[in-house]
Amino acid sequence: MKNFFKLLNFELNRVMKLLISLMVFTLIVQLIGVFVSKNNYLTQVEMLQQNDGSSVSQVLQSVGYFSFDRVVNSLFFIGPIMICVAAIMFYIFLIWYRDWFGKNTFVYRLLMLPTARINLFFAKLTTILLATFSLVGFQLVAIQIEMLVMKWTVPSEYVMEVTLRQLIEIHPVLSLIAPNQFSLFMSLYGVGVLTVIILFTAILLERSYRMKGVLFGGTFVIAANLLVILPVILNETVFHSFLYNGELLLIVLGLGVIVLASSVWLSKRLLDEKIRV
Amino acid sequence: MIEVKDIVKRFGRKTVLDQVSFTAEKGQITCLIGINGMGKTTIMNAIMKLTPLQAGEILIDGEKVTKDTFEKIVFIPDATIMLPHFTIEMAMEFMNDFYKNWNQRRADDMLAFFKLNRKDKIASLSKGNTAKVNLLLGLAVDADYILMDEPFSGIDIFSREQIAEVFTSYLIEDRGVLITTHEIGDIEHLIDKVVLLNDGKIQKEFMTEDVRELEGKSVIDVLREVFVQ
Repeated sequence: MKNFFKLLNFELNRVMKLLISLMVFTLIVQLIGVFVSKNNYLTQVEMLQQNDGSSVSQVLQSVGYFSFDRVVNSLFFIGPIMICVAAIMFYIFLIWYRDWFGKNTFVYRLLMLPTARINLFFAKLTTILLATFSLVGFQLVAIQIEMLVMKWTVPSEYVMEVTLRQLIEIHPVLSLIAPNQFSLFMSLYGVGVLTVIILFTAILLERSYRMKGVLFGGTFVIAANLLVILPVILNETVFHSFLYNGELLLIVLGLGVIVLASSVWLSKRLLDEKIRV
Repeated sequence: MIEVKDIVKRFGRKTVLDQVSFTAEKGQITCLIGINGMGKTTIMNAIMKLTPLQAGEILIDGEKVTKDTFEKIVFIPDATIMLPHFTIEMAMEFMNDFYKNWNQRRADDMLAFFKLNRKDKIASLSKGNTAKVNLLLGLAVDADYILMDEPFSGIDIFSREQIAEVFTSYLIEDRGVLITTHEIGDIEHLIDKVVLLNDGKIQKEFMTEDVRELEGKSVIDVLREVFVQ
């Protein structure tokens, strides 16, 4: 266990620069988004006031209030989130492959450490999870900062305040990365963890069997996904919705746990017996 | 004792190691010799479970290799296996973190002997100094067995002399060393046992002292007989 935490600490240090860069990038671009949205809105307000001599209430009737959902729907807001998601997806592969293909073959050192090799797997997995949660947590803090900036820069009579909870409810991307309901949060992140574990196993299959391993890895990913969603497909096609949603969920959950356990077991065997430097 | 028993290794259809068996004892320097591509490094990798075998087994002191074995056997490959942005100091801290048998006093001795600066980044080191750091990180673990893959490969004459000096020092004493090298001249007088590998098979296994005393031949003479004729 002690070695797991040492490896985790080591992996977290390796990802730290990337994480901080992504956070700074997200905040800067989203703040630019706040200013661009605000400027567009205030330009419209000014035009109405100067050209038509409209009052505040007439302006509000014409262009509406300025609320944070105007910012949230812009590319300046969604873009950095998408880049962070892509970076994490990329890092799922990089976290393994850089130990083989970096300037120095660090995987020698990692595999020769006097610790169970599965600790490498769990340390890398936990790093991906912690990196994801850090980015999500930072996004929620960043939204609060951006809302404050909005309030400081837009005259209060034009501002309509929305809470973070409301924003998450109305925005599809935010509701996906930080769901309001605990059960939904657990389901989404459960699927996320399972996906990362399946991908890790596929990577280890490739690292163990090389060219053949690409085929094995691909087959494993498809088979694992099919197995988990098979009850849903069968219930819709063969059994014509015979099962209740609760029952279906339980079966999918059970299969998910089986796939997860099998994937970890296979990864352990690959790391112990089949891996190649 | 390191026991390599009937190991078979194939890459695709090519058999690199075919029923290879030999032993390397504690307190002796065993040299594994063969021309390039004969599977010397593969044997080292197999001992450290860094490549799977098709058949055979490897035992260290009569036991199969497990995670705990890595406290008593270390492998010093000919490539740098520490992160390039690490300084020598960070690399030593990393080793100290994970190895119960890490001996910092011994590491400091070697740092002074090799005249290395602990603040230097590994990426900035010359090939000779990189080999010395590799050696330092391996030998500072109080392990019973040391595997070294081509420790003299591509490095300058002065670094080679320094590294060869290590073989006569307390750093190697009482340990079992399995070494592969092309630069046999540098350590010929220090080798206790030679294992000759040719075409994936053990061609000859002999004690250097026996060959010297009984046949009046040097290691290089025997190599010439096996590989040239």
